[in-house]
Amino acid sequence: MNRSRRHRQRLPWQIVLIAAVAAAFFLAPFVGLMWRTPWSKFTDIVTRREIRDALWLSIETSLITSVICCIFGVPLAWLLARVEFPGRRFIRALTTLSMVLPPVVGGIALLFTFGRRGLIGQYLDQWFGIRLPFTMTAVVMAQCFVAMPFLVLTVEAALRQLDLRYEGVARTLGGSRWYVFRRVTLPSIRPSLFAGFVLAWARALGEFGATITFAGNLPGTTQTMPLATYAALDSNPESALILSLVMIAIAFTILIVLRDRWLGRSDQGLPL
Amino acid sequence: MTLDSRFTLTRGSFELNVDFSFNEGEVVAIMGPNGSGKSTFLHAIAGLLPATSGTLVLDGEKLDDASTDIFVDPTQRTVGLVFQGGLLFETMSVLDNIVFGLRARKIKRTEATDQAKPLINQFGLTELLQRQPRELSGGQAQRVAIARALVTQPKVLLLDEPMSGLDTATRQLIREEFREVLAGFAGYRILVTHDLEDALAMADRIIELDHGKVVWDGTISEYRAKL
Repeated sequence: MNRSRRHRQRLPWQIVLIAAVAAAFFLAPFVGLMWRTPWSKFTDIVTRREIRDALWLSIETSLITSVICCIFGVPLAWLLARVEFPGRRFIRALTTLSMVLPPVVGGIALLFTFGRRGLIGQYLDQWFGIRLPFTMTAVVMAQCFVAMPFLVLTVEAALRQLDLRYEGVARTLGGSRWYVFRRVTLPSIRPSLFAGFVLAWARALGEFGATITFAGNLPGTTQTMPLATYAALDSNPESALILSLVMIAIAFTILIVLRDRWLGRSDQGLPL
Repeated sequence: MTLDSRFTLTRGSFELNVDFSFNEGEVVAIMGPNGSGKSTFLHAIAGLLPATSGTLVLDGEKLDDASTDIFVDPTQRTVGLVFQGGLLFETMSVLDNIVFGLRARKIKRTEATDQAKPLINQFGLTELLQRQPRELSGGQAQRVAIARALVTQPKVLLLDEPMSGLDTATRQLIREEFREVLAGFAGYRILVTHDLEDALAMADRIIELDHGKVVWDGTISEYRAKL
């Protein structure tokens, strides 16, 4: 009792005030959104075909993206964490570049690489008749481009924290590099792998700029939830509001799932 | 038969320079302060670090020869490694830890368990097999680590500060157990420690390292005389 009162007296009100303003800034838009939401039309709008399509496409592509990010991102993270090679810093910077870039720039880059006249795209078209832009594959590629860094960084950090002696012991016990990776390394980083997966998924789910640039905005094929929300803002603001709410609900669920694993379990602080 | 280590190992600005042989049957304690090169030496024997120059020869077979690019992989070295705290695989049960070396050699789980039975009994681990490593006491974890290292029947047993981090009472107990383990082990026995008491209690010979160089090499009685 005594201790907590002392702490309370010391609580710096200036910091609390500024923090409260910041918190309010995050809260206000959601209140504003909910205040204007036509709740009576909620079920009607959410069950509309184009909305269902967009929602389903978003879930489908973002999950595919997350799996692809794991398949390619984990080996990349391992390489960055464990192997010294020339150009490693360059590769790491390159890997994380899309976290800093405006997504639309990524979309343009993808378009001019995998588009019909692009560096790689022209041969895909000529040799195999494959045209990537404005397909679901393009949606997944755009999402991978922006989402994979989240997985790579999370997994790389976990690999760096791992005591190398565990792998050393496993090697002396006769485990091949692949066996040790599968049985010792991978299980040890499972929480981080899960966190990376969810972060990549969340990023993919919210992807807008690269998708609309590279994959376009075709309802049923490439129109994901963020694109549908943006499109609805012009023609049907009520739908846009409800779609926004759905996406907020999804994002919130992700954060709650992640709370323990990613944001840390500790809730310790000054007793109030 | 001998284990001859005559090599130099450079890591950054640190250089380890060793030139001595181990005889089968003797228990050798490698001593020295932190950063003296004890662990680097152990890693080199285990094949986790390659020598920069020189050779490492076990029973006439070259394990590492920097001049000819011979480097035997740690999986082929028949070396058992026990680290401070046991370093058990946290995501596996005690049993899976013990049979890891057998499973890595593609031996089926039931067969591996059968093969490990004598060790499990020897170290009194029967009741602990389904536990997770985090549920073990320091002494128990260390016993599991020893059993895990011995299950593949290594020729060389390397103990890296196996008793650090244990409380005094457990330490006494484990020291006794380690002495028995070492006595019952037929191959090369190398104990890395910074604790003179441990060395005096368990070893026949002491090698002291400092800044990567050998500063003392002699029997326990010679070492006692020096003190």
